[in-house]
Amino acid sequence: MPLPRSAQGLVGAGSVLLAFLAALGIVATGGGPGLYPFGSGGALTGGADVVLGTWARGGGLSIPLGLWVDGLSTVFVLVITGVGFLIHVYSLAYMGGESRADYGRYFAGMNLFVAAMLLLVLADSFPLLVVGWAGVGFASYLLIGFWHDRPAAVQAAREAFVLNTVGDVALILAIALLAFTTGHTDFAGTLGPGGLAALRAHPGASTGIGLLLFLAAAAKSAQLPLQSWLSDAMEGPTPVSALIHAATMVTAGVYLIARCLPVFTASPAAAATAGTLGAVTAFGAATVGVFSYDIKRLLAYSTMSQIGYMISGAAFGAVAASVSHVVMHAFLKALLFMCVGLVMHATGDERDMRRYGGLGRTLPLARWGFLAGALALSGIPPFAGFWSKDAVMGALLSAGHLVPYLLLAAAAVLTPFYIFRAYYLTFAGEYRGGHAPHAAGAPSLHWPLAALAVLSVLGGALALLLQHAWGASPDWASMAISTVLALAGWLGAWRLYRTGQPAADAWTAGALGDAVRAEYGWNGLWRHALVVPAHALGSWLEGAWEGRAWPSAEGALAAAAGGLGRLLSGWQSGLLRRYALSMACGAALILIYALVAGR
Amino acid sequence: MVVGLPFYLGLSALLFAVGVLGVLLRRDPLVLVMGIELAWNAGNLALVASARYYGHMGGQVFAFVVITLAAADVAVGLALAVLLGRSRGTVDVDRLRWLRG
Repeated sequence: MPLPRSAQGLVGAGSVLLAFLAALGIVATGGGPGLYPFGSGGALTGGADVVLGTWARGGGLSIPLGLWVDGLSTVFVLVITGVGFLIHVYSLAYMGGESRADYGRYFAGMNLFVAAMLLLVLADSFPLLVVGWAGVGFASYLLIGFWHDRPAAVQAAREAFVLNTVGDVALILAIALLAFTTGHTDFAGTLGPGGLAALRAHPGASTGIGLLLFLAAAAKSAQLPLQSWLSDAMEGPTPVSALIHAATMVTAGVYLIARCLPVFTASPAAAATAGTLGAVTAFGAATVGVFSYDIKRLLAYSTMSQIGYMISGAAFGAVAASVSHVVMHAFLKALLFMCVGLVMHATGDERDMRRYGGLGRTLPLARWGFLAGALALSGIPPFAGFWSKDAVMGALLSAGHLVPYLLLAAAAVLTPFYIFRAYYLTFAGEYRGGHAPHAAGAPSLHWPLAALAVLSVLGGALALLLQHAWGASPDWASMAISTVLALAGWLGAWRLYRTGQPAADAWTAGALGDAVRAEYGWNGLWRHALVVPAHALGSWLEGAWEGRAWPSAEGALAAAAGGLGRLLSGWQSGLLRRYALSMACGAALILIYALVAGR
Repeated sequence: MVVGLPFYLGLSALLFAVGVLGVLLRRDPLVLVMGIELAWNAGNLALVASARYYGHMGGQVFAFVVITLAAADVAVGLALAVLLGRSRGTVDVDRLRWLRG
């Protein structure tokens, strides 16, 4: 018998609040986010290793069991528990329509996710990190498929799990190669000064490790070439999209790359590959976002695009900028999803923006919240996203990575365009849906949204503090360019869409729009490269092997066994004296063997 | 001429061979049991002779164990022979072959 809803909600949200308070305790006792994890040579130096014991030993390797606390992990812990708590509170009312058993299942999945994610960012060795890494993938699978009576949700959950598993395999291969190269599996041994020296001594292995780590990060963070699961993951409940598929889990790849900065320091080739592919994702996903009709998918493409910035920055060594963008993005994207959740509640779970419009009057809080999130996402000063997104672009520009910078700059024009297109189509103009929208009124839906709106407006101060503490200085020229780019994108959207007339959006229909919305046929590529051949192999095996070859092989095996049995049953003559003869011969053979072997 | 250990072991082997051949060649269960007894006691002879030769009493002790087992063996064997004769009307072991596979 499930607990009553109030108890489920208390456990579900209360445990995350306790975790957040514990994280604040870490900060209060000096393990603050200000501790930059890397030394001047690029090796992992700072950080407290809280060793709990030895997990496993053997084959010349010792795997410790412990937690690693430094600036990087503390920032992630604060975001996971802080934003996580707000989203749990939002879920209390948002998921109120579910049955009591499903309500409990929902919070169990969310808490499992938070626990696994905390383990991921706090582990002090790669094998322990894998436990959290796989755990968040599993929790994500459970929550994408939360509505298990919807085939699309189940399909999306499966797709996410399969693509994540590709990344898990890449991560484990990377760890094996890392252990082979440095002789350790813990962070201090692999990424510390000794590990960095070993990595520098083996540039080929370092490149391999870096590329495998990027592949793992690409699967978890929905980057090219493993990006396609994230947009389908929007089949899950909207708070799940906010917490797992926008604010936290998808940034695990950024954490991995930031944590493994020494590997990318040792291999510029891997850094260039990861950084460039991140920038390509940032631009490509933004273009898909421009054409999207489904507002949740639009936000998913936006998430891919913003994580592209983070991956690109982290791979090129701009860890401070990249991680501050993780934090800012967590605020603003969780906020945008919460607003979309209110809109979907009011319109009967409608996700198509062509059937929105004029919702600003019915849902003023969602409208102002979305506007705050959109301004922050666009990178318009002084809102939160500007300070971190520009820091990534400035770092790339001053380091001379021109191609990734230009891609990110192009994405920075598209970002305000697509998000304000969504804003105007949703909140301006006249309502185009069927039933009249009705506003929902639970306060627990509203105050987390308001808190995140404040953070999206003012959070830039936190980004600047973090960048200052981690030794990154602002680049004024880049800021000026970024401001112009963002305003240009907004101006474009404003000119086209400010009245909220659907006619303005007619240009997104047509063959080009269909092709872009299909993610440039990327899924078809996977389908034809992997799924179709696998199906063909499967049906061939079913016909040729299971249908014909295997039964005849089975028959031959059975006939052989039967023949052998008949042959041996002749020996079972029933004649006592023949048994005695067999025994005597056996004894004689044993005797002869003993005599021969004993010599 | 000193009668040494090899003579005892040779006699033991001879007796054992006679016992085994008795089991293999005869069809009367009474003679079968006698053959088995002969084989047991061939072993006993080897044990006792070796005990004497090596000055170790373990062989004699084991010979006593064998005598006890042989007595039990005879008791079971004769009882089987009597029961078979009663229930099947024959004691020819070549005709008692209903365990054929």
